[in-house]
Amino acid sequence: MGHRFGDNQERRHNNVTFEFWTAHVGTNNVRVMTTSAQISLEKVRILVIETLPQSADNSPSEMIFGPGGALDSLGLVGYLADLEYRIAEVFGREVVLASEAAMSRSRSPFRDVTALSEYIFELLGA
Amino acid sequence: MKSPRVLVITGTSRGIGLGLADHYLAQGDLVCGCSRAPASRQHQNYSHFELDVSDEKAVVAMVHAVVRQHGRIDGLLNNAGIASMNHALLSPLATARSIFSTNFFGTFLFCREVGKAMVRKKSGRIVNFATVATPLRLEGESLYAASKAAVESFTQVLARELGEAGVTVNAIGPTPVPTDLIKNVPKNKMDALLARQAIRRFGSIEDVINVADFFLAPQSSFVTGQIIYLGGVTG
Repeated sequence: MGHRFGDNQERRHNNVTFEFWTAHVGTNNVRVMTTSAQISLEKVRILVIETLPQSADNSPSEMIFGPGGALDSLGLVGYLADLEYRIAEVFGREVVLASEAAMSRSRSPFRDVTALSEYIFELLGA
Repeated sequence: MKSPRVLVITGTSRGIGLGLADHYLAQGDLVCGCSRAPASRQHQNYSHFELDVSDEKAVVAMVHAVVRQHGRIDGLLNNAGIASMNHALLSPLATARSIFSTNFFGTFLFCREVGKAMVRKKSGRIVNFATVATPLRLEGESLYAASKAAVESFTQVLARELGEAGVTVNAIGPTPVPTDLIKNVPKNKMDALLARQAIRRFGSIEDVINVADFFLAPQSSFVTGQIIYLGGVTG
């Protein structure tokens, strides 16, 4: 089995070239391509809330991280890792949430559900 | 029947990486390897990804593909590395960037992305690759030794950051092993290096595998943040 990954965001498998986030041959999961038009802020927001750990208060305005936040540092690490995989599953896009852009903002995009949803929506270029 | 482990090994086209891949395939593990070159092995339990380990998008895509296919990653062997011998004052900046890109940034990216998958499962083993060139302060290997010193430091801090998440992070520090990595090093330099080891011989791929086996073993869940040098070299 062979794959070729690179900056052009293409995969090659058995001489077939696929778009970066379309079907992945050789797995049991055939991923559905999601276009920007199908990604809405509300869908992202639902995903952000659904992925929050059970112990956290899932109120949409709830703080996630920072003063009064539901998650500690390790909790945030696990949550963002989960969220990246959920984004890949639901929207077919592989993103790194802890990007340079996120870390350099004066207000953390990880502070609450609304800020995180808006940040992911922006990241997805929707 | 015990389910096979899912292992990610970087730099599997040749040398130690290829030896590690062959060893774990023979053990019945599922091996996902990568290198800039095409696959050197065809095996039903081997998947190859052609990428540069310092290419963030490619690494993210590979790790997601492995998790999508197998559901988890049990072990990461961050073997990919390059070396360049030269006097520090005669070393081009491009060489320094290249060595750090592969040896440190590549290790960092795989640790970060595979670490995320392991934290989700609250289990995993990360094995990084250091070198005896760091503790021996070898002349002519300043850039290589410095890049691997960064790997050592990163390994020890990451071990603390992931300790509570059930993920261990350790490193192997091989002595010179007769592979392409050292084929251009003059014999007198090699002899001088071996003379500084407690056991004065080249290492073998089997020596490296032995330590990797130890770090990956289920019984090693209480071993983390350790750098094991071969040949009796001490830090």
